[in-house]
Amino acid sequence: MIASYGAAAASLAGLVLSIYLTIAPTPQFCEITSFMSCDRVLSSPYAKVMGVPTALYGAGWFAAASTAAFLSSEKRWAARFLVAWSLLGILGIAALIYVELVLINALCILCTAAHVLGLAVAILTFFINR
Amino acid sequence: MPKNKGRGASVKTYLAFIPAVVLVAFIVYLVATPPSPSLTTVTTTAQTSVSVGGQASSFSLNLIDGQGLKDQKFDFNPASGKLVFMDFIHEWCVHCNNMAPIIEMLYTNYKDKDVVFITVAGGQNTDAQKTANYIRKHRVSWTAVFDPQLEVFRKYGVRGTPTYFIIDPKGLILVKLEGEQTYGTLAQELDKYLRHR
Repeated sequence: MIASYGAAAASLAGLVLSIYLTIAPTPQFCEITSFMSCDRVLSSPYAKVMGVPTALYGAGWFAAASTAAFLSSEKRWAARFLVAWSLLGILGIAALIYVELVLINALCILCTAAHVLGLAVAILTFFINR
Repeated sequence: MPKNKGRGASVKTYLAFIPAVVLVAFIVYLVATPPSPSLTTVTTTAQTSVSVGGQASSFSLNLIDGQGLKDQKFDFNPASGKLVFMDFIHEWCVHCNNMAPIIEMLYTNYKDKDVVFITVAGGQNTDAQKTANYIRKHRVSWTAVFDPQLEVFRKYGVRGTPTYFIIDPKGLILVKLEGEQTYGTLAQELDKYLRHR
């Protein structure tokens, strides 16, 4: 039960952060060095996939994860869906980190915060299904 | 619909649909709202002393080229008697990198029409050597100066990079454009003045 609410809370936080990353200009605290720069990442060609902001895919992932997490304590299918969804999320996070570090050569700390929330959802999913 | 086991279960079911509703509302908002200009924000306190229609400010900064920062100062006198195209950039700004070939093309086509090109490169989160690399990479062959403390950025009220100014021969600011622009937009603004002089 606690793991379900924890996963739901982490997903909701990720949803809010992803929405922020989709629409808001990069805040100053995010521009630490030329390497640790949200702007370099969010204004790179990789910030959009098929014309859609990458952060919007994240918002979709977190919204679905949140819905499944709320239902997971009552519905077995929701808990199972969350496992598959988390695996997809981990793959996505790995790909995004690769793009940041290797292709763009910059690190966006707000994006990293969203990745951490995604990993938190995946870890809590393990406890939900234990 | 899921079977409710009681009041708690019902609340959870309703809670479960809130993220989906938020996402749908957000997508609707995105579709209805036009995108913001492609501009990289920079840290400058608002001490704007120039505006469109007003007099441009003079400044003195060190010149920079593909080799690095020069010991030589460049003194900008707005009433230079020539049309001035001035761009504010940061070497790490992706939008500035995207615009670099367009500015180079603009320079190629307008340098012989009595238009003076000046690039003011900011020093936020970067240094002179990285800026010199940018200048070399993008073949900036016109006047470029380095503004390490963003003093001139503040003077000109630059909120982000790239920002473009067109200044008339008497020093009046004709145009201020923020974010990525097309070649056509910039050329059109220059042509407007060149046609009526």
